[in-house]
Amino acid sequence: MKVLIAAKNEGWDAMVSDRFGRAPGFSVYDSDTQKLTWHSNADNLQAEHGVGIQAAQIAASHKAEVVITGGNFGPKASEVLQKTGARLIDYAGNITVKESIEKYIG
Amino acid sequence: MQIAIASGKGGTGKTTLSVNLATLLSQQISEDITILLADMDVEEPNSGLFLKGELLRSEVKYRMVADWDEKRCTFCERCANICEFNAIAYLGISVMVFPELCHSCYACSDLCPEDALPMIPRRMGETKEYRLTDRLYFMESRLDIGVEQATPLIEQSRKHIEESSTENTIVIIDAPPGTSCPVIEAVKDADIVLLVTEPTPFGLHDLTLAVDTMQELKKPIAVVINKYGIGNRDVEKYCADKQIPVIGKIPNLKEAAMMYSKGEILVDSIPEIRKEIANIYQNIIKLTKSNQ
Repeated sequence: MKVLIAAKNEGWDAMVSDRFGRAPGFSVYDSDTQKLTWHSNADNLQAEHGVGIQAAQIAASHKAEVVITGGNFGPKASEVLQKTGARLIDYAGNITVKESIEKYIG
Repeated sequence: MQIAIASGKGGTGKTTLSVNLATLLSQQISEDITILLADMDVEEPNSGLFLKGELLRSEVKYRMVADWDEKRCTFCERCANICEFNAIAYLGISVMVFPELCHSCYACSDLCPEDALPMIPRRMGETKEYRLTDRLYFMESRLDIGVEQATPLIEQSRKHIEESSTENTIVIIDAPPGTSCPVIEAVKDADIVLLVTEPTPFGLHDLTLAVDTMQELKKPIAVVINKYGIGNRDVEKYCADKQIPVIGKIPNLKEAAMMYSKGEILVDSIPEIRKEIANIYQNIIKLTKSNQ
């Protein structure tokens, strides 16, 4: 299973981002390999509109089954993510990427 | 001739000047001329609060947006990659189009090899035209609630004005506030842009932004100071430095504020303001003649 976490930076100890569409990047955790890969969101930070859609598309392209953010998902991001069938976790708290996986995935 | 009335800051008196200038001109100017006042602040048109007339026509305005045809789609992802506005989400097994983000550029529709993104009309608002007197006409465009983009409706309203006016029409545009796309679209056909400001630090700050915008557009501009008498003289100093003509100073009168709050026309009952607005028009004539 893959989990996509909106994060402020690369790595296990980075904090979860409270913004989704405009998160600095996304950490993708693969529960089979237990590895974390980083997907920068730099391109979307510059865009004026539709960043939630783009971010949700990134989750879809990774086939993420769980998506975590520290804040909430915008209306358009939610609409896209719901279509992918992913489980959405918002307001994950002021925690690190590692802690978010421990807390919500186990 | 087309006169646009804009401002950087909101609430400086665009509508006050627009409706009073239009009313005064319709009473004073030679008989072969008609006045068309057009409220282009489509997100919150308010000139109509001051004007009562007979409805001549009402038109629903649409714009074209992309729509996804699932049966034709082969999921090649080209549309999502080509969209400059992030309006298309490609999900591998599905495509989602967000019409509110679509800018009607047709790129996805034209470039889709399967014709799976037909363009369809989407309602954005309404344009209404009224006759107030034989000399004074009023047009208003109003964006529907929840519609995100004002500029396409303003663009269509400009075309509407073109159709409804002749060389014997003086068009007065009540523009939206600010300095972004809606204002730029609203003043496109204007021969002169009047920037209404108030003599306060806020007024001056936003006036400088509006001046920069209009100069970038190479529009002839003139400044009208409303609520003259409050604040300070910095707006006048700025205009003198920049050599921008100040063509009117509408005095700050409690009586005017009270009448405005009741939706009444000032030029009909406050001689001081009538005189100043007549003066503003004379100055517009002088400026547009010297610009030609």
